Amino acid sequence: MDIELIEPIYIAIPFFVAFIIAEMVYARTTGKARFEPRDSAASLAMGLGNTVAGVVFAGITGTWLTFIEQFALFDFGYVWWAWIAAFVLDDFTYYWSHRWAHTVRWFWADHVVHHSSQHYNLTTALRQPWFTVFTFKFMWLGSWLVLLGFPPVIIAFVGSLNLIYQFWIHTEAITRMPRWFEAVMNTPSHHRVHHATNPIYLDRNYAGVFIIWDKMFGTFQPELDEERCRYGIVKNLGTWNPLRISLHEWWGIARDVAGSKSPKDALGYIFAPPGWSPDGSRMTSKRIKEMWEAERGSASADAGAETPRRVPAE
Amino acid sequence: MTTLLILIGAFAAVSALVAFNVWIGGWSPSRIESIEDAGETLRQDLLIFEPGEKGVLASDGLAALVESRDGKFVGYLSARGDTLVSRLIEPGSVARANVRDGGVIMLHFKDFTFPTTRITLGDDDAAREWAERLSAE
Repeated sequence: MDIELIEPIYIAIPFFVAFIIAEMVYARTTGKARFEPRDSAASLAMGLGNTVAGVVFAGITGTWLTFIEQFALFDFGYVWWAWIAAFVLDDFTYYWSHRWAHTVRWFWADHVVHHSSQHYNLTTALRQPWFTVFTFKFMWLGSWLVLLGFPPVIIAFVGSLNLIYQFWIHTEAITRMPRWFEAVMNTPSHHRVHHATNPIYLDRNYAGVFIIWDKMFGTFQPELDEERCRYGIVKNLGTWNPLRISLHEWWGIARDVAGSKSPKDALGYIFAPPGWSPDGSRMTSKRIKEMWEAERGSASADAGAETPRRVPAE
Repeated sequence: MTTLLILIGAFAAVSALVAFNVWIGGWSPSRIESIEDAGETLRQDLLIFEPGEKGVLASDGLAALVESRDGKFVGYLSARGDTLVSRLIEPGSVARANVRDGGVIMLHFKDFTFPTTRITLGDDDAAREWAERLSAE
């Protein structure tokens, strides 16, 4: 049986717009959220470009998934439980994909776009890359689920639902959700941590919908009242130009590879964690965390008090 | 056709949202209050930067240059919108630094994400001195 579903994100767009307007009004009236027009414009332009790219490259992804469907182990069809199972397994896949997007520079070059704003509001949710096709994510992200036996239509549908869920968690307007919800689901609080550059928050909370994956795989960090999130990346951008935002890390990789002294170094620049360099002169998140831990340790020893200095990172 | 209409609608929505953001206001352009504040922000942002004594604050409060304690680097802090952006200037970081009348430095970085910036010092001699220091290879 073949079915066609409308792209859920298209249905969601009017709601996205309505919620962004509501958050802007909330920001203006309470001061508890921040917007800046050029930042908003850049984020929204990135979102629009991402949608265009999605339309342009959808055929490639669809063709690939349809091609590999013939090699599926099982045929689950469209039974009700297949939708639920696909949603959960897709979120599990998202967790690992997202984790690699922060720990492998090739994938980071794409994902850094989403982290490149120093603001954290609903427009940030829409700040998405244009050139994801370069990562070849489409070849492996949903492939294993199709090879297992889920129809590509279901995988595409639950993938869109996953992204729609993540829209509302990009806000400072919601402090905490009820405790039971915070325990299981990804929330604004958990995701603020993910976007923060404070060393204690670096490389934490990769979840899409269910925060349980971070708790299972040791990457969970709750938001601390005493450690206010600082958003952005190690080297915050001095531009609002969407094309520069889209390409800057790809450009950085190309420049580093062109200047590398050996094939090993070149591969390191492409696949090692962001911030890696052959001589260690740059800083990875791991190194930043180590430096912060060392500083915190010495500060505690010296003063008997813990006042960690905040430093930004990727 | 439907996709095209959706994209046109999305473009109109984006434009309307930005216009609404401009109209509703609620943000304040960032300003750097003092060299000490600039040094502390640079220390936080750049991690390996310890601010020294020498520094200069732009007359409009939109930029600051602070030399590191060991004199090896210059930290540059720039007001962008309602945020601040930091850069560590090492030998070779700057493509060129031109001085204009009114003590203005036009700084061109070799940085894809921060190509050009303007620092208004209001003092021609100081601008020339800093421009020379910044463009040193």
